[in-house]
Amino acid sequence: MIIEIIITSSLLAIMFSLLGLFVILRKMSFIGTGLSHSAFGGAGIGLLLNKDYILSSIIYTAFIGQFIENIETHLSRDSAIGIIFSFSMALGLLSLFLSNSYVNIFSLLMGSLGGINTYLMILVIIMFIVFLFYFAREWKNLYYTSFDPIFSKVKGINNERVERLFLLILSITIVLGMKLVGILLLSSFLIVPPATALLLRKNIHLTMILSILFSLISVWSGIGVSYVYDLPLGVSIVLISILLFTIVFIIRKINKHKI
Amino acid sequence: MIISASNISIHYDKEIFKIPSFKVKRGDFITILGPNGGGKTSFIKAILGLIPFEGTIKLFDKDVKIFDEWEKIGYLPQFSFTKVDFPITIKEVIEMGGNKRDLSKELGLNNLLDKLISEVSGGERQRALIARALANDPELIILDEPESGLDSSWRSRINKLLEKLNKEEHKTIVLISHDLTNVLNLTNKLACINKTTFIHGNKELVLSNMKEVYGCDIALLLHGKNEHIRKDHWVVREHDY
Repeated sequence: MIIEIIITSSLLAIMFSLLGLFVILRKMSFIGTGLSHSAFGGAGIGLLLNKDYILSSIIYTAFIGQFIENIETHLSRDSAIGIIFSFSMALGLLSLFLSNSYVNIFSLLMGSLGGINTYLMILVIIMFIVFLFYFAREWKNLYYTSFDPIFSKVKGINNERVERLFLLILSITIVLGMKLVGILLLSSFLIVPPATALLLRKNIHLTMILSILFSLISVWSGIGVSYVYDLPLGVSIVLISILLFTIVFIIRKINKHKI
Repeated sequence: MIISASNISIHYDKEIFKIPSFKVKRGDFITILGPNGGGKTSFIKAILGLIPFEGTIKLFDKDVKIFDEWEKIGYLPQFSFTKVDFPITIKEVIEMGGNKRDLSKELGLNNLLDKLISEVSGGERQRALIARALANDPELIILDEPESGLDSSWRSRINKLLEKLNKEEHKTIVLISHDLTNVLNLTNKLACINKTTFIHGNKELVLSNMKEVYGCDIALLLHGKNEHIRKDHWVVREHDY
């Protein structure tokens, strides 16, 4: 059990921190929120149909991720995501209401240690291997298109392909993180550790390392706190990550005044 | 032909821009002029296939829609679009462009390579973007207002660099500029775009026809405020030819 928890949470922390960094750099934080709430809708469908709800959630969230990319209408992307996000939440809640499921709604919303099992660990390990290949190949494209999409296009980088692939990987990873931190706190777990790293204003390599570090510290101490004080896992993880953010923020402020 | 465009119409930001025909030969140095909102940047973006348009645009005799030899092109986008608050160093900015030609020394950047883009001044940032545009030693160099953010000393150094690239290395240069007096010596062709009116050709021809052909007053092009001084300045320069 403990091995499953450590492996699953650590690999998720690494993926979340790197993806979250690019979510921030691409100014897509709201998409992160939209996708994590979509994960709940997708899980609801699986529960209602009595099927594997992680799988149904992956399919649904990946679909939403690609759909968001297609929105190019009078409706702004923001409002479209807002609508999809509330629809998915309603869908998830309705499904839970109708399905008489044994799944504990609180653990789905706020994460729990009990939700992590060998099946999830295997899924996360497979995803992590896929992620490593993806990230090694794509990170420069992600980096360049985030910084200057126009110039990247002139360098022959297909920004739409980069973004679609990114949203696909992000969607799947978000669903896999659902049991660890819970639906409600997924987007904070995605954003807060890299936002903390960005506060330190380092180059991209150091920023990536710091994001991973802050994310791992939050997850590991979150697990400890959750275990000792019997608190919901997601709540502990996210509160610790925000504590880290606050500490770094204050230290930055003090240092700035010194100079 | 390096660039050839015909019957272009661009619908962009609720505006329509029309360019009946535009040709750039190898070794040309063409400066595109026009008032703010006249369509200079949109036209350049259409040439690079960055925004939708009607008509035909070819780069190196290949339709831009299927063009894939981007390493032949160096591009400096408009200054204001740079994301300043981004964890990228000057070195990485330049590397985005390629690694065939290192201009960091010539552009006064060699002590700034490890600095973040947020840590350097506006002029240094612009020079880094110019270095990026030239980093792959491109055959076609397209610069959208390279003078923005630069002081007069750097402006003239950049002009010298462009002159060298054009005259000695026979690079083709397309320049968008607000400051005609600054580049009049370098350029051999001019174009002027103001929404649906467009003219391009040899420098002398365009200068003498600019007002008649499409009502774009040369003095206005050379910035409204110092109209008279600028116009005199231009006339003096023109006699030099």
